[in-house]
Amino acid sequence: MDLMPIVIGSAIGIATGLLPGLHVNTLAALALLVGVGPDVAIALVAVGTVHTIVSILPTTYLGAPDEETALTRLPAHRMLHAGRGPEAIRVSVHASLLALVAVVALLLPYKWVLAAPLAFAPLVASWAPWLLGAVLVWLLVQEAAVDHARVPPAMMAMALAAWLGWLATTWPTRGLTTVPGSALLPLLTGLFAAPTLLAAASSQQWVPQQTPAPASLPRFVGRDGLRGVAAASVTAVLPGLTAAVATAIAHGGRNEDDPRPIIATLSAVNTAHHGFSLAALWIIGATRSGLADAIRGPLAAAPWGAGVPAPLLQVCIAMLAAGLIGVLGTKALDRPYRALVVRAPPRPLHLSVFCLIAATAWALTGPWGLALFAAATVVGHVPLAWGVRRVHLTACLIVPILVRAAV
Amino acid sequence: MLHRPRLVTLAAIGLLIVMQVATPDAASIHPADAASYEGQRVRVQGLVMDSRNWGDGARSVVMQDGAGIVVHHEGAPLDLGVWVEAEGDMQRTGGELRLYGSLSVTRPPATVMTPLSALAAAPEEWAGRPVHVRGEASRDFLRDGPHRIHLGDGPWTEGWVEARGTLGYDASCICYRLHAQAVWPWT
Repeated sequence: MDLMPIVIGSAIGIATGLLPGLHVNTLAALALLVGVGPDVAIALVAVGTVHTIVSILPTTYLGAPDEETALTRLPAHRMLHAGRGPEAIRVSVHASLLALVAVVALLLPYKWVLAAPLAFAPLVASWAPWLLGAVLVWLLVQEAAVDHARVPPAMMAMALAAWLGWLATTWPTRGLTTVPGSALLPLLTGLFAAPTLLAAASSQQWVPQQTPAPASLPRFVGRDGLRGVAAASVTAVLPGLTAAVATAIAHGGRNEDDPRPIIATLSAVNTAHHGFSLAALWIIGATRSGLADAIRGPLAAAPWGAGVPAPLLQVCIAMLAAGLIGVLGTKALDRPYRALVVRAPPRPLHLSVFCLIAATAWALTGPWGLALFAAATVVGHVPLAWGVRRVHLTACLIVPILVRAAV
Repeated sequence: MLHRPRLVTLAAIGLLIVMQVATPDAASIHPADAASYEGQRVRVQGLVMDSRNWGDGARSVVMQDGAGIVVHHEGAPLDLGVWVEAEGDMQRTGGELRLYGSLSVTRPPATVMTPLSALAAAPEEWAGRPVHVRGEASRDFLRDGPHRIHLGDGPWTEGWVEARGTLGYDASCICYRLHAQAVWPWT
């Protein structure tokens, strides 16, 4: 097996992981335009794997709002403000690596559960609307457990996101390039990334000095990483569930003071979801991501018969090798990335990142996409303003699926 | 802005109302551009090349200018060779883009007068496009000198004729057939 595609793909994955707003599916769509062969397909697998690991750097160091939004702050941002950003990075990359190893180790049992002999995949598909509806209700119940007064604003955030998600399915999004643009790009970056970037820009709070990560790794990384793997095994076959929702489910709604277990689970969900969604090509013959769709043809994804398919083995090797490169790359880049962010004035830094993702949305989805991005940015401010969790905004994906299933 | 949650919520509602009003009708697209509209509601016109029962409804292949799209729709399968408009959601299933919605028979666009030689030379480029041709119909073919094309459905008569119809691929003969909507003698 040629290692060069893995190395090249990993290098590209590091670049896309560092750039906020650029998704692997966009690269996959670009690759489909220029033509994908087996080597390019393996490189894309490496891109996707490394991207899920390296992206913790911008996730942690960019867009951290000030104290006024403490209730809705992401776990990595909480650690950043406590001067423990490097520790968050360390926990994340190890959880991701563990997730990759677990995905490869669990592929055979995963196949037994979804395909023959247990064949749960059709059952999951037929129950999907009910499961997704239950997830929405459960998110509200979690909010009520904290404070009943938070339920109405949470429902409001859900309703607005659902409305926006439905509109996104009808808006024409043709970009300025020939790369097919999906409305999901402006929708999700507008809802989740843009509001925190603007909040961080307006707060003008400098990133505090960071202390190096402790040498030892907490034991819970293994436990919570495996929780993430279990959650990702579900999200990989159930449409509409994001990593944030999967993490919320994996942690059973507990309000934990220590953000590290949540970071471990979230990172493991992201990476394991990538692995399981690629394996789903061979297990249930379904494409669960743009990346999986791009590699389907070149790697001749056929149903998993008696033995493990050779292309799937190649994918597993590529994921593990790229995962290792991703972990080493993230650790190597942590210090320079952090130094850059710590020294940069917050307002220009966050506004320039905001402009970058807005420009990406415009280039890939055109003026209608940019309008969708603007509206999503305003809707994304609703949970921040009311002090409820932003996970409710995933209704933008779940509700359109429920509506389609109902009509 | 974050200090005024009601204002943020009202702004969001106002924007969504504007978007709802500004939402255009489903975009009318060519089947070849389907990949750019994944996840969106679109309209596609074309010729029904294949139609069969599928689950509770039917599954039809709609083709225009050599590019096709699979449409899952309610109701019974349609007659082959009719010009239809499909409207629905473009979704990817099993790696393939499909349209889930409804189909209705509609008036085909204006026909293009074309020499039979052009059709015979590159039938795939003409598939699904209404054409107007001249030739001699005999046995299973419409001929013009050394060029010929398989006859499909339609009121064909032997001899020199003019025909208005559409080319469609026939898997049973691994060939393209000219399905005629109208045939009249060429004098």
